Order: sequence, then structure tokens, then C-alpha cells
Amino acid sequence: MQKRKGKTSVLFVTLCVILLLYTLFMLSMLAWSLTQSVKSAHEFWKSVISFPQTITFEHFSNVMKYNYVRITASNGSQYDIGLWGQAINTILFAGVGACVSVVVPFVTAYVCAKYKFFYSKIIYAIVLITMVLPIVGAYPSELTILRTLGIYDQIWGNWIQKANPLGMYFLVFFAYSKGLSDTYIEAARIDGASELGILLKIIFPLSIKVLLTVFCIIFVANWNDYQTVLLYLPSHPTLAVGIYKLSRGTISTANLSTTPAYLAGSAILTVPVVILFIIFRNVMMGNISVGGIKE
Amino acid sequence: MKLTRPNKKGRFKREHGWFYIAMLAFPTIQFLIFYIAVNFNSIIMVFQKYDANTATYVFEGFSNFKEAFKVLTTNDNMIMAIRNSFIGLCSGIFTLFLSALFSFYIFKKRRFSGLFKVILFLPAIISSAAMTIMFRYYTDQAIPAILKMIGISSQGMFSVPDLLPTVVFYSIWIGFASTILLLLGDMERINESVIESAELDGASSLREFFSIVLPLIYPTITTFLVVQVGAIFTNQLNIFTFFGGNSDLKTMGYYLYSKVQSSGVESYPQLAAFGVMCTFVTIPLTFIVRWLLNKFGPSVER
Repeated sequence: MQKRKGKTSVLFVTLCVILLLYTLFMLSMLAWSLTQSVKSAHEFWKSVISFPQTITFEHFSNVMKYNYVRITASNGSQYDIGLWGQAINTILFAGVGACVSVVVPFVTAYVCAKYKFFYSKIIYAIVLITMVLPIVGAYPSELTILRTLGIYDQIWGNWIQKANPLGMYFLVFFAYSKGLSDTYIEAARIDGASELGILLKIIFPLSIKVLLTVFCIIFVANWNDYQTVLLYLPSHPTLAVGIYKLSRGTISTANLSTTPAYLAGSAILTVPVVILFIIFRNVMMGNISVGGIKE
Repeated sequence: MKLTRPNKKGRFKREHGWFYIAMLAFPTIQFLIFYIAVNFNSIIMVFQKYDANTATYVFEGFSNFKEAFKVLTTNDNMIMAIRNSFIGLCSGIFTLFLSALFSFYIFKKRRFSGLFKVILFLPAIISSAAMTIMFRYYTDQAIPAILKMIGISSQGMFSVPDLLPTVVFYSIWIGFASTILLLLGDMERINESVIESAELDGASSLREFFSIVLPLIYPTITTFLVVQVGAIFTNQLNIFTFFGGNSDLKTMGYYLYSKVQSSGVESYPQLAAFGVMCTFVTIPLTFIVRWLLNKFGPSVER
């Protein structure tokens, strides 16, 4: 990679100092959170900044054992969803939800880019219009419609809701599909492949990089999103909802109402996505642009 | 080579029409339900009220609008929510300006730029539910304890009476992540020779940033600014994450979300009226800002 050169200037020195302070703040906060989460509550209150004298994972095990979310069913009965139930909901909400959020706009964009029908132009125009029209506060209407359709508070209903063909990722996929060579498609047609076969056996494998990039971005966003779940899936709490409820003190178990327990909960929520980020760092940070992907 | 050749147009349409219809049927229905029907229903709901006897919405006229307008103009909490929404917009613009500077630093590959890029991106990875916990207790407990060790007595950021500066600081602090990636991607598409010739001419880094880089990435900056204006009444400033649904501190985005989250169906028509009124303000505002930015912004060809 070409290295840009330049003189040291007041601007760069100032920016470097600000960014160093930012980095120091971020890293010290993460380090503090991790070290305090393995201290006993007693030791924590003796000193909130010292290193742990004895390392304990009691807060982690308490969060795993007791951090349940209480659900009130429509008939008034109550039941609890613990950490493993929340983890399954997270996989269904974040994982399957991300798949749906990738596949639907991709197929829509591919078809619009490669099949020259007039309707493709209409879809493209609709994408641009909906992106510049700021709609505020459609939650009540959306909830009413979800209830009317019988898909409110259903995971599969949320997948349908997430299968939004439009938005920024349509533009990413559209630009990408436009750039795909038609040679493979024509060759497959000559060999007698169906259009669906071409899409599944040629286009999807060819596009795996851009699909993976967008999947990772949406998966992390879904993993971290607790507000959508609170609003549309109240009976299907995810890990993010569990940790949010923990931080609000709605879980009454005494041994969870301490700062180290909150920090342990944060670590449980954070570690999986940080691992994912470490594995796919270059994919997530380097590839995406509205013009497709940067090679 | 185009897939549709003029002489084969009819055959192409016949052969591929069904596939095309099958692939676009679901996206079309999804759009019709979750965009067209939702927004149309939003407008309808404004003129309705909930009838508990029949458990349905019945037409009511303009009373929701009148009530929403009255509350928005006379209720101190709502006036504060509108004011805070504009403060959120200003903080967003400030974050964008800082993001452009940070991106420029990383673009120029100065010291530690790789590390800074990763660190600035971290808030996009870590859940806001986890990040707010760590930020809250770190600034409220650890930092005062560290300062006390060096003889400085201070209050935690969440122990002060006015929490608005705290949430604004937090929203700026976590706001660089994706903005920097997109701005950096845009900067990397600038022709290298333009930058080199500026350096050879002895342009200072400040001059290089304001006179070359900023005008060249102006379309992206414009897009971000327009998006920020469009999101003015949906920005929650993370108040819900920090304080839950009963906070005295409000923005319009926070108010609308927390109310819908905690209210029953009987409150939906009035909340829909708030949403529609906010949309009526936001749409022209967005288009005016877009027009102003295009009219008075720099026009530079790459």
C-alpha cells in the first residue's frame, strides 16, 4: 500500500492528541470494565479502581443463572426466559433476521439490474424516494398492522418485517450486480440452466464476498438491537434485552444489582461480537461502499 | 453485453417474465404492506380514536391533531423535547465535522492511524446496552476515584443535576464509527495527483483539508447532513438506553419511542398525530437543507 507522506503540522499534532485521548479513554474503560467484573462485590466497594486481588467469575455465573426476563402471557400467566432462551432468540432474531435482510434486497437488486423491464426502473426510483423521505413515528401504525396480520410478537413475523427490499443495501447490491459480467449468465443459459439455477448456482457463489460483508454488518446491528425486540417481540427477549433489563435493575435478585454484575453482563453481550469483529475485521471495515465493494 | 437485445426483446420477456415476476412478488408485497400501508394507516389513525367497547378505531375528526398541537406548543416537557432534538442535531453536525477531520488524519496515514480507525469503529460493534453500562459506571465511579487519587474532587458525569451535556457528550463520543468508514472510503477515491500537487505547492495540511479534501467529499458530507436533519425527531440521544422510559430528559425521538413502548392501543392515534406532525416539519426542512447545501456548497469535479 502506498504510504502518504507529509510534514508534521499543528493540525495533525492536535488531531493526534485528541485521538490518543479518545483511545486512552476507550481502552481504559474496556480494561476497567473487564477487571472490575471479575472482582467480588465486597472488594469492588473497597476500591473501585484497584486490580482484583482474587479473580472470581461469580458475577458471570450469576448473570448466566439469574438474569431472566419475566414475560406475561396474554392469559395473564407469567414465565421466565433465562440466558440460554435469550441466546436462542438472539440467534433467530440476529442470525436469521440478517440472512433475510441480505437475501431479499440482493435478489431484488440483482433482478432489477440484470432484467431490463420497466418495473425495474420504478423500483429503483422508489428506493431513492423512500431514502430521502424522512418518516417519523410510524410505530403505532406498524404495531396495529402487525397485530391485524397476526404477526405481532412472532419471530417469523419479524423476519417478514425485516425482509425490506429497499434501502441503502439495495443500492450497494444494485451497483454490484450491474458490475457483474454477463458472460457467465449467457454461458449458463446456453447450457440450458434455468434463471433460478443461474441465481442459486452462479450469482450467489460469485457474490459471496459482498453478501458476507453486508451480513456481518446487519448481524452485529441486530445482535446489539434491543429496542426493536422490546417493541415488536416482547415475548422473545434477546441477550441485548436481558442486559438492558439487568442495567435497569428490573431483575430483583440482589446479587445481580451490583456494578460488577452489570459489567459482567456487558462482557457476556460484547465478547461474541468482538470475536466476530476480530475474525471479519477486514470484511466489515474495508469492503462496503454505495458503489458496491472495494476490491 | 446487455441481456436484452432489441431483436430478441419479445422472446426475452416471454422466457424470463415469470422468473422476474416470481422474484419481485414478495419484495413488492412487503413494500406495499410495510411502507405504503403503514404510512397510509398512520395518516388514517390521526383522525381516529380507540373505542374500548368494540375494540376498534373509529373516526373522530381533527381532535388528535388539535390535542397534539396544543401539547407540542404549551407543554414544557414537549418544548424541552423539541429543543433537545435540535441540540441533538447540532451535536450530530459537530460529530460529522470531527469525523471528517479524523478521517483526514487516517487518510494521510499519520501515526497510529490504523489503531485509531479500529478504536473509532468499536462503538459500532459493542451494543449500546453494554456500552452505556460501561460508560456510565466508568465515568460515574472510576474517573472520580482516579481524580481523587491525584487530589481533584469531582462529581461523576451522571451525578450532576443536568444530564443533557452528559448524553450529548456520549452521543458525540460513539458517533464516529460508520461515518468515518464512509468518509474515508470517499477520500481514498480522490485522485492521488491532486493531493501530491497540493503538497508540492506547499499547501498546509489545514489548507489541504479545507480547500481540497472537504470540497471533493462534499456530496457525501451533504448526504450525511441531510440524513441528520431527516433524523432530527427520531434521535433519542441514547436517553432510553441510559435511563429507561421514565426519564425527565427527553427528545422527540425518545418521547415517541418510550410512549409507544409503554402505552396501550388507545394511545396510538394521538402518538400517530405526533408522528405525522413531526413528519410534516421534517420533510420540508430536509428538502430546504438539501437545496441550500447544493446551492451554496462547493462544486468541484474529481
